[in-house]
Amino acid sequence: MTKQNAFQVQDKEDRKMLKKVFWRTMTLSSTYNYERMQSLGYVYTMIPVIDRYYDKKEDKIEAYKRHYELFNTTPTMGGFITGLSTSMEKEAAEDENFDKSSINAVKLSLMGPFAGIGDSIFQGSLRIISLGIGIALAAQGSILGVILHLLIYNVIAHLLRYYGVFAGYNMGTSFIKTASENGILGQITKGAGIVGLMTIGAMTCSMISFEIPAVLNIQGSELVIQDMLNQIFPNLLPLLLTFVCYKLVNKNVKPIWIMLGLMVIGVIGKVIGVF
Amino acid sequence: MNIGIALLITLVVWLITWAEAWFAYPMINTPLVLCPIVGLILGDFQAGIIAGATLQLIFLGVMQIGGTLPADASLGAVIGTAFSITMGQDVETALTFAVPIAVLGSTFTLLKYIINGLVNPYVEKLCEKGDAKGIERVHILVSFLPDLPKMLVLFAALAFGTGFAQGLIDAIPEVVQSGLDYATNLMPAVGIALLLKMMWSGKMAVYYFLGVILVSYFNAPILADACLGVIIAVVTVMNERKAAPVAQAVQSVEEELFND
Repeated sequence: MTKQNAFQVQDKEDRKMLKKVFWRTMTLSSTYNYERMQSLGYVYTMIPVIDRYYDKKEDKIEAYKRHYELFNTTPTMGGFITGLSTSMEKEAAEDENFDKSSINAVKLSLMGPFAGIGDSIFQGSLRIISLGIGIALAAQGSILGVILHLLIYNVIAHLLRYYGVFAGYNMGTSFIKTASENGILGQITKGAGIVGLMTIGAMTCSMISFEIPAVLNIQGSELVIQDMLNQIFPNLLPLLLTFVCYKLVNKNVKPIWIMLGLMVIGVIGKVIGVF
Repeated sequence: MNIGIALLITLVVWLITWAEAWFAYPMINTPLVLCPIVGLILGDFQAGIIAGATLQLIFLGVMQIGGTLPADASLGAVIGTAFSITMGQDVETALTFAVPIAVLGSTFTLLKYIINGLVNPYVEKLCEKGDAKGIERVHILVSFLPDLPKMLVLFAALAFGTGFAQGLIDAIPEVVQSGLDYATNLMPAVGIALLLKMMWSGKMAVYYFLGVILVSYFNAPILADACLGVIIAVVTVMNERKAAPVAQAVQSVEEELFND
């Protein structure tokens, strides 16, 4: 058996079609709605595939209808699934006995796991890192912060957006199914969680500035409250504040009320002279 | 504000909003990117960058997962930054406007999803007819047209809202201003709490505290922290993968025992 690169597609026409699938997969969420979610985006993505593999009009119509069913995943990870659908449509067009209902069954079974790992990698981890670095630089007035944020996020995200389509097409059902069954997806999610949590921990301490400048005067000796707190643990207040907010968020208090609460606390603190 | 400038900002925001969804969320529709652009158009690039950093930090935890409705950080950031720059005020002013506007703005997201859904029966018919060109046309139109109501409101707020905003700011007493200023530094805690809600679990908590300690005692920059995080993640996952086949083997031995 010759070893084949997972991202290479030999046939030139296929490659051209897959590039179209890649561009169209990115638009999945553009027409999101509550009823069918990304279904319109999914048909839009599959149109070049359907038009290439099917000749008869009724086959095409059947395929359009097949892909205009509820679907929802992270668009950045969507390429794996649309690539896979592409290879399944190809099989279905070539083999009369192919069970076409399996195409949607596979889509539906993969959209959850891929959305899960997409959210933890991109929303929970990569986005936080790129924004964290960007904010730190931009806060000093440097445009480099904006540029670095866009570069860090998109270079990594783009590799998945692009090669995901080719990998999904090449590896076929079996590989992706084993991947989600033997725990690779779970482990990637865990790895992303580690990086994400470390970054969030770092941001808790570097981006919340919560200090009490008030000085107590006890029998002539001055007591700087902040110095005492720093001796217990630097950044004790930001950490405590974060946990209080976390408890509130977990009790389903709307973030906006917490924000308004903090505004009120800020004003009261200034009025009584603590801050 | 000059109507031409308000229109320009609105169109740029519309383009960015569209591109964000069309190109699989490249993270351009965020305060960090939008505010400098607003600043550039209004002639104060530097103020825009600073406002972008501050507002981004506050809206850090705002994100969209599985079709939930988050606050519209972008709308709040654009209007807040535009007001503060035209009035010659600080970033705190931007914040004062950005937070309530962002909350109201989520209504437009809801509206957009509802409008998006209106074409469903029509697209079904197009599928029946096998009209691929028609489906493509609908997808492209729906990708930007349902944002029209939001963009009209944005334009109106920018073009005619400055006077109202100025009056509001003038009416706020000094001590309240400085209190809000102080609160600006506290607010990232809310975003971080939202992130924690998504990521936190008992087993993983140690990694959060590792991040805390690296910054508190060693002043590590975020990038260093993230790099270390990647290394720890790789090592942990590799170790688990090495251990996994053994665990499976043990299990199969057990099964054999029970099978006998």
